[in-house]
Amino acid sequence: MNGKPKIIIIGAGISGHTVSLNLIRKLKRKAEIIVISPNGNYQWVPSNIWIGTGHMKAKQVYFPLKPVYDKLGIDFHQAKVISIHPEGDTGENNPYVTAEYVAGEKSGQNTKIYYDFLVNATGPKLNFEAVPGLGPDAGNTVSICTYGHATHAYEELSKVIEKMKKGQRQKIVIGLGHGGATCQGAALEYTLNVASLIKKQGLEDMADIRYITNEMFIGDLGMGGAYVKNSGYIAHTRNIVSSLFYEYGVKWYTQSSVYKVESGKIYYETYQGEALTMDYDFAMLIPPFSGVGITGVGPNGENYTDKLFKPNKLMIVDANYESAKKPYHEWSGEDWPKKLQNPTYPNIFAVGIAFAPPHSISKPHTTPGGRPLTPAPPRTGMPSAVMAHATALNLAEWIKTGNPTFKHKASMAEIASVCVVSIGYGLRGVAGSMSVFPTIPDFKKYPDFGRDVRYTIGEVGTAGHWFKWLMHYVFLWKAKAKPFWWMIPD
Amino acid sequence: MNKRKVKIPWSERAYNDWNFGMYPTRFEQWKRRCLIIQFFRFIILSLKFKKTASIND
Ligand SMILES: Cc1cc2nc3c(=O)[nH]c(=O)nc-3n(C[C@H](O)[C@H](O)[C@H](O)COP(=O)(O)OP(=O)(O)OC[C@H]3O[C@@H](n4cnc5c(N)ncnc54)[C@H](O)[C@@H]3O)c2cc1C
Repeated sequence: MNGKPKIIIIGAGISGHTVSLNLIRKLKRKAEIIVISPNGNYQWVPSNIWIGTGHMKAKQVYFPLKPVYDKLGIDFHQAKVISIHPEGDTGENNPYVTAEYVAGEKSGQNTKIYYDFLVNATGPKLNFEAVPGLGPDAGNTVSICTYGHATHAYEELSKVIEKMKKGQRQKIVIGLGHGGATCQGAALEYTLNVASLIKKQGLEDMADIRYITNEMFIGDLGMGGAYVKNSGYIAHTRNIVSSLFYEYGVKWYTQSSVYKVESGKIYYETYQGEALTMDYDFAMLIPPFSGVGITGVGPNGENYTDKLFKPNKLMIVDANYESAKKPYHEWSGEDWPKKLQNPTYPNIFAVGIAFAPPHSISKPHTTPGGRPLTPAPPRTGMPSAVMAHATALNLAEWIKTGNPTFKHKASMAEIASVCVVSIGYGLRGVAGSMSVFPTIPDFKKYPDFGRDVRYTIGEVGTAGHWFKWLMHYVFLWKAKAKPFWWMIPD
Repeated sequence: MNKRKVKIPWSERAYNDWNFGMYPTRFEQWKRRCLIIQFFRFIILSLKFKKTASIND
């Protein structure tokens, strides 16, 4: 290393931004922190739900990153990383990435940026192309995965609400657009928010609201469900979610692998092998996720992509990928990565959705037609931020002491997660709140329920809604690195 | 105005609905929305979440 170590963070979403903020706080001027991201804005993705129901405007959930990074002394490139050259060019052994600027004077130009450490925090590619007819751009369905998508979703939702007001009954379908998709929590939250909006307007008799999902049972949430402490019971999430659906008049269709969408019609195969269709006037279906498609290149231009990425384009880290071959009941937290470090290149890390998990958390299934019915494991905001924070602290210590100690826990099997599913908006909104520990169930340690029920709780009420509302403002404060931001938990 | 608790009509549920769930009583629904009760729940929930989040430190 010549001079200050250079750390590149690819991506400025929940996980990438957490890495950058914590690195600069810990290292101050001891390292050069470089962030590369094509979106010049930071977005607080969880509040997209409220954009999709018209309660918030897009500009309330994002802010420009450049002024924040300028204030902190972080070098920001509004560009898209194309390739990683982990060994540099021949004879040079100086690793770098190539990126293409997407905005400003340099837009369209390529650049080469050298690094000593690299953190991949690129999140997901929204892989609408995997299902013909899916998605807001080339397809027929809407999405709430970005603030732009959510704004469009609300425009479309408003049209069906107008029709309901005129006495036309409308079919609303929300859920998972592929048998391997994840983010059930967001789909569930949007379903309940739309149902609550319709109920509030007195239009519930005019709407047929359906939730379609690849989960084997409702409340699986891509994490095999959870037993949570609730009103004197250790209750399964299945009970809680189904009770909310009953209450809001939502019909649910589980074990459904969506494979094609046409205007007004969703095609899906069930676990039993029936090929069915579902009509809709408004459909919001979450796409499957993959990695963003960055390539790996060797010193002589060789293809090194498979040293860095799995076929799903997510980054290889220190997970036990062989464990996927074991029977489901033998899967454990031990399979999950502890350092989030690439085994071939120890100076490369991946956090948030960008790392390749060893296997799903839910039990994998396929339909008789060979289509997946396996929710991918969710890496929601809180575990993404916790992993990112731990990785930043581990890296900072490595740079300061010269030794990698990995003292900070970055494994999803050792961390807790909190998830709040809002229903409605404002002072009188409601929410289902849940915390789980550990995030990945461990039936060896907790043979009854897979998790520690002292920390694994669930309840429904306005209190949770206030919590989620507060989180919106508190986490944006933190992301803007305003005074005492570092005191706010991940 | 629809006054049914379970919105899905019986004719649709009678033969093929195995998705049995729980339905909150009126008291539970009131409790969930009562601002005074929820204010205390908010404090309790925040403390519980803080305790859970502290595992990650
Ligand atoms: C509608 C919705 C609601 C949600 N609600 C919740 C919730 O209530 N609670 C919760 O915990 N989680 C929630 N989640 C999940 C949460 O948003 C994600 O877990 C989280 O955003 C993942 O963070 P990330 O940093 O890995 O990815 P992202 O936040 O997607 O960030 C990825 C970053 O990488 C950048 N990038 C992409 N490609 C490249 C490239 N080639 N080069 C450089 N940069 C690149 C992107 O521009 C972006 O800045 C929700 C998700 C959705 C979609």
